[in-house]
Amino acid sequence: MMKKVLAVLLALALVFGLTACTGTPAETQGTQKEETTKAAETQKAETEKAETEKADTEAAETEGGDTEPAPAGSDEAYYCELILPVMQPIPAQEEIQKVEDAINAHILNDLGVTDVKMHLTFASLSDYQTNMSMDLAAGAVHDIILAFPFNTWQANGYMTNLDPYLDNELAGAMGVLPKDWDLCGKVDGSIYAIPCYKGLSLSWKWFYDHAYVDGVIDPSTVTDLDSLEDALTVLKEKYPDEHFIVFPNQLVSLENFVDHTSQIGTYTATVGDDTTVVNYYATDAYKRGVERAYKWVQNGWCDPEGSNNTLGHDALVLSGSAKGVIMGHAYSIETCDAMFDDNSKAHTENGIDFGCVQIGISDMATNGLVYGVAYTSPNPAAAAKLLNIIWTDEFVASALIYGLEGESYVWNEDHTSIEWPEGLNMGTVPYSALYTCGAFGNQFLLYGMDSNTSEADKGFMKELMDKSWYPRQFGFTPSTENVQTQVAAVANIVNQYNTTLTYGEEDPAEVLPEFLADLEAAGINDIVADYQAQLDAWLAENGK
Amino acid sequence: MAKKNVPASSVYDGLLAQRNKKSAKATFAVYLPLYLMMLPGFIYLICNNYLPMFGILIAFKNVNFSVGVFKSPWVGFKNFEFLFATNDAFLMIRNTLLYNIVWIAMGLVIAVTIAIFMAEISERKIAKVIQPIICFPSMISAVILSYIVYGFLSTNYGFINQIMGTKTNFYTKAQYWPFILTIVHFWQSAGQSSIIYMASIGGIDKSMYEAARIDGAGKLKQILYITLPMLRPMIILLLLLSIGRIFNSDFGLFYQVTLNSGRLYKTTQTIDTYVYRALMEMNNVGMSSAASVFQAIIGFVLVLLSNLIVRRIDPQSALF
Amino acid sequence: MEKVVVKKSKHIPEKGFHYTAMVLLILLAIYSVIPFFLMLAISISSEATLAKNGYQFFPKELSFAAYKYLWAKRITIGRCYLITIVTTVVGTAVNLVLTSLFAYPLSRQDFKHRNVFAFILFFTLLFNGGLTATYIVWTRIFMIKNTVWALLVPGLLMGGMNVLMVRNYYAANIPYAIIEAARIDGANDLKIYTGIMVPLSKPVMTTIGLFAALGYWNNWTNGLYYISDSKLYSVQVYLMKLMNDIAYLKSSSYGMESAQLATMSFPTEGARMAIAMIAILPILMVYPFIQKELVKGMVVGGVKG
Repeated sequence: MMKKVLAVLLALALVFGLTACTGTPAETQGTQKEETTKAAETQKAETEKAETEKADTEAAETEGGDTEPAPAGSDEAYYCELILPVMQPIPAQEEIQKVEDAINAHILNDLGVTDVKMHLTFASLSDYQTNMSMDLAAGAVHDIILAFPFNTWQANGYMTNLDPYLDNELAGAMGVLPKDWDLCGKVDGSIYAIPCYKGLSLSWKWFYDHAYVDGVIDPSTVTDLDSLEDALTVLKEKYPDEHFIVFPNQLVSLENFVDHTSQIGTYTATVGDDTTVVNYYATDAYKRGVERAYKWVQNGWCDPEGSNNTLGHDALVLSGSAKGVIMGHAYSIETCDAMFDDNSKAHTENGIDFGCVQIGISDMATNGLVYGVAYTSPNPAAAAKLLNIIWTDEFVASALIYGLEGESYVWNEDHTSIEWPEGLNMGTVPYSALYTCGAFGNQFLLYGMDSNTSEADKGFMKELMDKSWYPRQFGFTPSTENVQTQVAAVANIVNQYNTTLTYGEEDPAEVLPEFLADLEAAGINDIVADYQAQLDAWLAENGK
Repeated sequence: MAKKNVPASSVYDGLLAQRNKKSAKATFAVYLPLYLMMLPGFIYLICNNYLPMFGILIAFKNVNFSVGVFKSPWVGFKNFEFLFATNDAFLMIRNTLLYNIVWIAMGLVIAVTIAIFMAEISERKIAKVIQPIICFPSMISAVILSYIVYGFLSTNYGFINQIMGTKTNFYTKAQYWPFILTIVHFWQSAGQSSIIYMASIGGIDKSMYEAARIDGAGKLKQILYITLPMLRPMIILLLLLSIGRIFNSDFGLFYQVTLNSGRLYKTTQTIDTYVYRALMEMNNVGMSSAASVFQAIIGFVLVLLSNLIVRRIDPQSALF
Repeated sequence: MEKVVVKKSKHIPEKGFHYTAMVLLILLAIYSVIPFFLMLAISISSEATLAKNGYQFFPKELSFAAYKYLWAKRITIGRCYLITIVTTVVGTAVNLVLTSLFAYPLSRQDFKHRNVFAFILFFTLLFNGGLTATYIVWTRIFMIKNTVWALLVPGLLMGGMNVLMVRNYYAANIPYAIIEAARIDGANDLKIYTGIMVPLSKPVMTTIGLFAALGYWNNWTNGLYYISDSKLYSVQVYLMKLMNDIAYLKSSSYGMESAQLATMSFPTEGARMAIAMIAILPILMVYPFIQKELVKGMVVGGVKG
């Protein structure tokens, strides 16, 4: 017996002895090692790139570029990592490398920036949040990252304070942003991130299959959810087996816009111009949304697969399984119409002729898509400089999304729009980062593309944003730091009820009161009170 | 006793110590190759298992990474609060325990029964076909399992809804899932878990059965008085090990197979999935460490306790 | 006289037991394979059939479109396969070496500290530091994030249970006298290990090797935690990320316009089943040959610690 106890003690002593003495040094060692590997990587990358760069510079010189010999500049250049979170599939490594080389040549030769280069990497959007936050928790070296969710990351200390770079390195990018947008990346008066500049305001439309709808109803009578209901009733009578809505889970957001219910974080909201924070799930908008969703499902207007579908709204409608769908886009009716007609050809043999009408415009609650510099970045100044280039340079922005001319896109004859190269499409071009889901720099700098973001669409987007309603706290993101236990509990409750309610699978008359009671038990009121205090302080600080 | 009578004890002591030292050195030299052979594995254990145990500290800190784990402030048991804060915390602990207890018990019966049946027909050729087949489901991963289960349960297309002519959305009906998960769990693990018992039955001396048969013992008696007692050490060992993991759950099964559907939490939320979700939602390293510490310590204590009990009843079967 | 009667009456229930066992086991076997047939059926049904009739065991209309899709994606999927195969082979080999090297000293009765080391090993079965700490150790100290090491090393290289199994096999099946004799003949420990222990423990090594290989083949959690670089996706990781992407799209509340584009490139339900199918195909193919070894190793290994 004694022997065994001894063995346990010995093992424990061994373990703690080991960890105790390796623990602290390991950390410093870790960072050191990281730096050296990083340096080694950079060196390797540089030697690898020397050749291509030389070629690039030569080409630039023959074109009359007035650059210094590249190697001298590239010796000092910092390879700054940019991570683009995209949906699958991610382009092949060789293609990413080509784009990176072209961008670096442009940065050096056309912009004359010698001290920073881009190291382009891709990450899968779906697990980006978990992966990157774990990565940062583990102290991995990163430079430019999409801060998602920004408030949590900032509170965890993952983001570099960008204040020192605002007036020089970042001046261009800050100048691009509309009024008050800088608040989206601001905490306690300091800038930690820069919001993406893109058409955030969406025009919500009902898309329908002309073959079924024409002659049965007049689509132009559909202007909001109520008139859409009338249309759906008629359509259901005519086609009992078809549905003209895929899933009703967007109705809640659409109801938000009606009385300007603006979500703060995920679980709380303000209504209209009033800055009183309330439990979002107890708002009228939420109630109306889930009641409508339930009604739609009960009436058989939606796909019964509901919340456990593995195919999205668009896949179902484009393949012809549903004859209509509600979706929000930042594009005009014409573009969306053409886009749907086009895309359906990839799913069905002859394509489907779609039409669409607008049923609502979204409010601008906040901009959660913000890029910043990781706290582990060895060279934040260089990262800030690169951020600036991405937000202000047309070539860099477009190359990141569309790849290289001649390979992944070509210009049309009058050079007004780019298009896919002959015989290729979005799914088959060698490089495309269109799957970033818009979570990217400055959308208005991209080359126009008629079937995607045309020049006309850019104007439409800006107009849409001007028309949108802004809450007084636009740009405010609450910190969960004081109420973490409650947020964990509330998140768990919300996961339980929210999906089925928004998908209209359960009767809100029964389930919503249960949901609200559970939320209160989980401490939503603590969250509301804490956010209210934060919001009041924020409003005072920003003079709202 | 001998202290007074041996005044020069120090001399002897010295000599003795010297001799011991010498022999210790000699043994060490003899066994050096053995130590060296263990070194790679030992290093791996340190890296993979023992260094992370240091993570217990994180559970008591409010980690802010820009200042580093070590400089982050201590917060006592604050990180543990969320495990017990709400009704749902109770639910997930209940689920974890109930699934484990029921499955351990059922698993034992099922595995032993299959093993006994297999032993019964082991002479026949068909046994050589059946055995690999029933073990095969354990060869696939939870990811693929989730694809298969979806094939059965999908609302529109799922096989079950097709033959029943219904449109039941199983992924929102929590009440079915204890049964679904049990069926899936045993579909996957029954064959595999019986192998070890099959092996043990195969190792039982055949002459014991011969003797029993001559004495007129029937099948049931043979099972009761020979097979089961012979299996006892193995059963106890496996039971002890599973009791140690009673606060853990098969993450793949509870997360992937349920498609992480929120409406099912009442019956499918376990500590592991809750922690994983809390980690994703909150990105709170302290809280998730707290949960791991909780699981590990309770599990450890339970093993010690049950081992103690086993040792009282049957010292030979005790683990240590 | 009486005895004979008793025997007769016993005889019938025994037969009954025998056949009951057989029937039940056959049913169990059918139950075990049926889901795989559904999977296969889904993967070769045409999309139109799926949409109309749902998932059926006997699809009304066959289509190999799903497999054609896989063929078109052969570069991506081929790379996933390559990663899976390489990690499985290398990981299994290293696992076997580490496991047997660690087990041999533990089995030596004359090795004084064997109990200490056995406990150090056993303790890892009972206690662990949890995911977060493990993650931090591997990524921060050893920096294996997004390297092929991430698929090889964490959690998979040497399992406590396996070491104990090999140890038991050595202790039970290789008499100490043989080792003693070899030592008297002047063989050192390495020689004993390579010359006696390894050749004599083939059955248990095969079993351990197969378990390890299976572990590597099926592992998706290491990919979930440590891999975000698509170059390093294994087949399981690819499948898992695919499901996650779909789930993410479902839940994503903003950026609708491009989400619309994204679903276009997603494989259909049939194609997803086809990928799952080809992920289990290799196991299915080697399984008949390996399964006997699997059982044999367990028979002789025993687990009692």
